[in-house]
Amino acid sequence: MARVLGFAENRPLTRLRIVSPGRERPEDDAALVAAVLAREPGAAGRMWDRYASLVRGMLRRMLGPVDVEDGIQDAFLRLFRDLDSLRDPTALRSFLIGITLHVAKSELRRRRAKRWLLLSDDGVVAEPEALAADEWDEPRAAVRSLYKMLDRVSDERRTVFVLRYVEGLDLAELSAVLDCSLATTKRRVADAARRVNLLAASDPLLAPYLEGEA
Amino acid sequence: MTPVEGGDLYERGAANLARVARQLDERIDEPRHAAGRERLLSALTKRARPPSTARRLLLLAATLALAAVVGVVLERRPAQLEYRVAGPVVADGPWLGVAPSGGAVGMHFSDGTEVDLGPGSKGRVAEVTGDGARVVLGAGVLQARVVHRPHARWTVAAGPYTIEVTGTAFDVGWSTAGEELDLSLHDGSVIVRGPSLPDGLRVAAGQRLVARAGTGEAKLSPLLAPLPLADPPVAGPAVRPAEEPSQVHPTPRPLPTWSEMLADGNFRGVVEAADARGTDVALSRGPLADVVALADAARYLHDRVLAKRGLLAERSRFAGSAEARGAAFVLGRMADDGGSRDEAIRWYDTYLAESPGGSFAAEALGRKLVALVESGDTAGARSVAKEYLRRFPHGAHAGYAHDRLPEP
Repeated sequence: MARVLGFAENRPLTRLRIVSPGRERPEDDAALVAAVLAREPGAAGRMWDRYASLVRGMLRRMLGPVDVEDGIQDAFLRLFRDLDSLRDPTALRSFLIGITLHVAKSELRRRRAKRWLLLSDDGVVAEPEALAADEWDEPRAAVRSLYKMLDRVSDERRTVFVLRYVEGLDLAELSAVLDCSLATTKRRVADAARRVNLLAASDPLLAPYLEGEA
Repeated sequence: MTPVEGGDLYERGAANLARVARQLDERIDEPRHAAGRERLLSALTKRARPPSTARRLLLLAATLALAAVVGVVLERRPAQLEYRVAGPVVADGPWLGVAPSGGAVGMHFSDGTEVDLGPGSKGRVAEVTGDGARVVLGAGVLQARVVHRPHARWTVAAGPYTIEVTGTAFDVGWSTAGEELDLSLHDGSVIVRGPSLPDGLRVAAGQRLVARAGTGEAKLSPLLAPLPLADPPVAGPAVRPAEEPSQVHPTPRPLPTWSEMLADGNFRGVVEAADARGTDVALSRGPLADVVALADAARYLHDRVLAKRGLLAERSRFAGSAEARGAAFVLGRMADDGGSRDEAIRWYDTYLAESPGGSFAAEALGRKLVALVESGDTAGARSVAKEYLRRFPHGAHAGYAHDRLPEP
């Protein structure tokens, strides 16, 4: 049985009463990592508060207008599972971006397999799970077209496009996330940009965006 | 078009196209954000898969044996209290459930307050502020030790009753079937409001209140004494005397275990049962659950000699068990409270060595720091203060630890 501490003992109350609250200091990533590894009370919640938006945004922009809540949970569970392998705690953000990308790619592979099975069955391509009406606003059609288009490019190009142009990662950060040299990163960025341009140019909904006219 | 021109064009086109994707931003309303956080923390609690390295695996196995610990933050502001949940939690919608045959689930707040849910109970933390929290007991038994602080505001809700607390220790039970509140005060006082108690009833240390929402009945009696069923009601005219007193006291289950008696707050019953069996026999040959129950019951009755015998029996007879490791911390706290600082520090060190990631590691290290300061060991205190801040930068003793270090 779990021990229940002495709720009937009085002296601990006196002892704790003299303890002043901790000074308020901003907690950097390294301190947050240390706190999580030490299982400090509240540390896991602080990690969620700090990075849930980043993970949610990345997953939505990688996967499109679908429910990503399961993916967010998966990314955080992987983060907590693997956090002790993070050698440089200040690199937490990049570490989490890498995990999120892994989750996103897994989901893309799962979708592709599902789509293949459906095609072999009745020739119907599965649409992504629709968002609730209050999840996002117009123009829905352009968003849907964009992600249909991205389903036609490789995961690598899709990843580079999203990270570089949508998320706005600079080349150095992108090369770190992709784990390749700066020169290779530049080539992959140019390749991804060329591919999405060519595909978007043939889409009546997306073509105006290429010229900044939409 | 030259390659350079094409590259620039593609770059600009891709950047323009990205505007479409950015419409899928990360905006999320606070309830969904909070729901996601609760889901994650619940999953972390239940996750059985150990970390990758052997060391972490051993550490986690040891920790899970004592308690599954997760951190929870309900608000982002640093001033908000934080709490963690320790023990075998059973997810039950928004409730923290405890299996009838399982151990207690503890909620440890950053101000030192401890709230424990007994076996078969369910509860939840409905609100947390910088001054306290509102805890809802859905059913079963809840034990609380609320640290007194200026402006502290704690509330425990059970059915239509609310218990307002500033700093005290009490047990409360809530039966949904009988709509019965059973409150026992060990320390301090509380105000209880509810049916027939609109103006609030003060319940003081050593008193027990049994109130029934269905009839509006409310009775006070001395703690650990039979409920005086014939006594007049304590509240105003709205309070009706019990027409069928037997309904106030449900027939007790036959032969409750010592652990069940402990969970019911029947500490005297545990000690008397040990007397009947033979205390020496119980401590030297009884099962672990009985030894733990006896040691805890003795502590709650302030019988330090018997409590220490029980705790030492846990450690000698069940060495390596979670209970034995936890007993080291309790022995340290008892020695600390008895003024034996050196002995307390030795037990804290034992606990920290055996359970470096244990549920009470932060408190053990913080209490060790206080003991070193009070014993005049400035150098030792500084060393422990640094260690505490490194391991628990937002722990309850963080401010105290800061004050022990020289200004930079």
